[in-house]
Amino acid sequence: MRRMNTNLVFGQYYHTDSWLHRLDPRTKLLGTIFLIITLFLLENTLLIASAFFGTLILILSSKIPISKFLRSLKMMTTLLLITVFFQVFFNRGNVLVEFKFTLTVINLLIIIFLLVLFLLSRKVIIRHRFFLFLLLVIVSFYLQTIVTSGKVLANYSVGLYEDGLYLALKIVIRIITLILLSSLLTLTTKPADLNTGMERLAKPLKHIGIKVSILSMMISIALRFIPTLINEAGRILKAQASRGIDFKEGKFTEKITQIISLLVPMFVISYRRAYELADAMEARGYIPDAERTSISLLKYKARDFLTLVFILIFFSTIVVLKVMDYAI
Amino acid sequence: MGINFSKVNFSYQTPKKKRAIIYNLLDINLNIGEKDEFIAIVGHTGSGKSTLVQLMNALLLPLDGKLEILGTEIKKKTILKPIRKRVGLVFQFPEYQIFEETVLKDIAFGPKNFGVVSPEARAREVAEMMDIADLLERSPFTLSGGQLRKVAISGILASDPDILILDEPTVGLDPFAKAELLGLLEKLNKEYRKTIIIITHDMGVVSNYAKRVIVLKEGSIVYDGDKKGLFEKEDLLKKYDLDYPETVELLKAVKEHFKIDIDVNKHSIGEAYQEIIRAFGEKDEH
Amino acid sequence: MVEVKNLNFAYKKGQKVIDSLTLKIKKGEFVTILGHNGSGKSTLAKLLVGLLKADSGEIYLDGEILTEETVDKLRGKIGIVFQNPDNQFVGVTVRDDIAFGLENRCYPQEEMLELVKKYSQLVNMERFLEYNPENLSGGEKQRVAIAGILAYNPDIIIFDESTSMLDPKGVREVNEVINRLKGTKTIILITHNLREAINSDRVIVMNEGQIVLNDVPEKVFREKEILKASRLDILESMKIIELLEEIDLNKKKELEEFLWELTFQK
Repeated sequence: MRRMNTNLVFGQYYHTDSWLHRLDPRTKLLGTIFLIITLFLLENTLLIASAFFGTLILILSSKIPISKFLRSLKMMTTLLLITVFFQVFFNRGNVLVEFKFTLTVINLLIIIFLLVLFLLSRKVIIRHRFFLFLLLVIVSFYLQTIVTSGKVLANYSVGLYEDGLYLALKIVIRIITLILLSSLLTLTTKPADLNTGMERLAKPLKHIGIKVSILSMMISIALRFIPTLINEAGRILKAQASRGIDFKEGKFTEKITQIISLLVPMFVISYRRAYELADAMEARGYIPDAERTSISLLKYKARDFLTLVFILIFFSTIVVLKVMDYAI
Repeated sequence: MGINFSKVNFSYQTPKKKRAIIYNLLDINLNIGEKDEFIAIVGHTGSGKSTLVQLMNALLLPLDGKLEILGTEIKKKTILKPIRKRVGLVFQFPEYQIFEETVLKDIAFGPKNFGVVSPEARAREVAEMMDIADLLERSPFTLSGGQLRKVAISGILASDPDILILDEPTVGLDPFAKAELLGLLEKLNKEYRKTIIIITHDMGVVSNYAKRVIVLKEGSIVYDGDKKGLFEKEDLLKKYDLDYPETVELLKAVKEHFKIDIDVNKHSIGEAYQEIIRAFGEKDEH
Repeated sequence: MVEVKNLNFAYKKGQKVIDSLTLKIKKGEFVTILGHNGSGKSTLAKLLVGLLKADSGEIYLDGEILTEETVDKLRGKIGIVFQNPDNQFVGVTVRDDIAFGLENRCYPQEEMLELVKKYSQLVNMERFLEYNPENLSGGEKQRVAIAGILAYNPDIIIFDESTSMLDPKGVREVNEVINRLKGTKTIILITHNLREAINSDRVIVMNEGQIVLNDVPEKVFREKEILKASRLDILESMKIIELLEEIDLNKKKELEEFLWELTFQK
């Protein structure tokens, strides 16, 4: 049965005709690593912001729609928010603004009431629960400033720290830039090419006993079979649904059976597959630790040298300046 | 009752405003009886056969149109579990769905989920009927492919569905196992009056067992009627990329070579043989 | 080209799967091995490519004996296409998979690119070189497997039930390629479908680990009793001929001869 997904979109790879796509994967791997290290060496907020804008320029040159990058960022928003929160409100030093809160019996009861309402509304209001929760939090704190009648339980204040603000800004920009750089790597490089690139770069490791070629073959086979496994899992889920398993409902003990009914067949299929694949590979002359050549032989081109040279110059400059204690 | 499709469309894509939707099934109108039917669904790969049968037990939901299964109209909120019990679907290579420790447990799994009373007793009954009663205490992972397939089919049969759908049940089986399985399906149809629906590529299966044939092409039904009608329409077969059953091919060749008046529309060896005798005439009759 | 002398093999002690088997296949022959599931035919295939080691007996490929020491070298002379299209597809793309056998033998990159192009064209898969296997049909994957084997130019190719998991279109595509190879390679086709044996030079029937018939197709197909005892189905035309034996029909002889010819016309 023919699948619906296209050929070149797997994992994160997005095909366009940009210079980044045409770079050797090793260049991109090394470049990304050095750029990220540089990013974390910088301390000056202005420089960090420039790094961010520099990354944006790289992104523009990749011709990949921004929405692809936003997807990766979305996953980090919770982490970022928590980091910002703690930096801004729980730091030392100058206080910009101070908020005074009074927790009384009355506003505590109101808060609890609102919380219960929120929990009960689970079935009625299904969408945008996160924003509703945020609203609840803000209202709870606001109440602690205006509704101050009743027996006082606690008086506390929370400060918005100046240093915290700057720190938070730096952290956020750094993390966002980091994610953008990584996404740039995976969006412009096919997983198989990444694997080949890593294998070439890691080749010297074989002298210390790490079997790079075997690891690389394992990754390659995993990449080959992940789409297959996903499709097979879908089929098994459907087959089990025909036997009365409803994956959406069920008590805890039922859930365990449901998972087993998916995992056991997957395991059996994979086991037999491993056997048959090993036979096929051996019959075609594969010997795990032996020398072999590769049809996807990577060759550096002028653009790779230029890119690497620029990045290394940039990197060494920052390192030297840091060592010489300049405030960067 | 039975299964009724009325102007049903289906697509695997989620409808988006920007792009034109590609339908996997278009304008399906179909009535399938609750009892006694033996239907073969044929068509080239990708014509929508598997998709169609997955709508029949509500594994997939229609995009447009009305689908009614055994009296229940299928909508987004419909509770589907009881339907899955009464319309059993056996996938291709069903041995891959087996996971329990013993054959008995695996066959009893479906009935247990569907709330059948004494599922293990029921499992034993079905195993008896499928001639695998001696395998009940064994681990499924020690069985051969053909045996596993019987176990998988038993697992669906044990829930006692009214309608049994099988997607290419004979693929990969050797001729003996194939004949055995088909004979069993025939028994279910004739003795127990169950409606049997088979997706198959094998025109021999169609000609020897099916009463009704549905031909799919590129997501639409292009023929729905009895098999004699299908085989008589010469252009239909060529157009829909199907082969003739062996017996028909054979009789046609004989007819052409010997220039003899012979009815080529015979679908079993026995019938073909009788026809040859009739056409050629026994020596004594001269 | 392939010679088997007194081969014995059992997976578990006491259950012989191959029993005192002796066999000779000449260079360029197209031989079909027929047998039901469990007759030992796939085990024989694995023994011939050295994936299993026989308990006793010898196997010779192109005159050289197959042992643990010679197996790596002799693997270059023989290739095998298995039954499951997914479980023999190693590469991430079609190109990678066809090149796999060449990479194992350290071919230089330029030569590999040429060979991949040449053999993908031969099996009509050239425009699929960048595809990954999830987007290919069974027939397409099997053709890629064949290309991958042809690429390192073995003299002998075994097809172990290569079409039994395919739909009719895939079966046609693969059989078309196999038939084109006839004469250029020594071909061993393993199947339980009699129809696929029609084009072969010779048909070998296996049952219970032994060879029960070994002759040209015309002669083998007449042996209805042995075929039935080996749990193989006989062809439709054969069934009619069998039934006709009971009766005395006008033009009976001509009819029988015609039916017989009809079988082998395909």
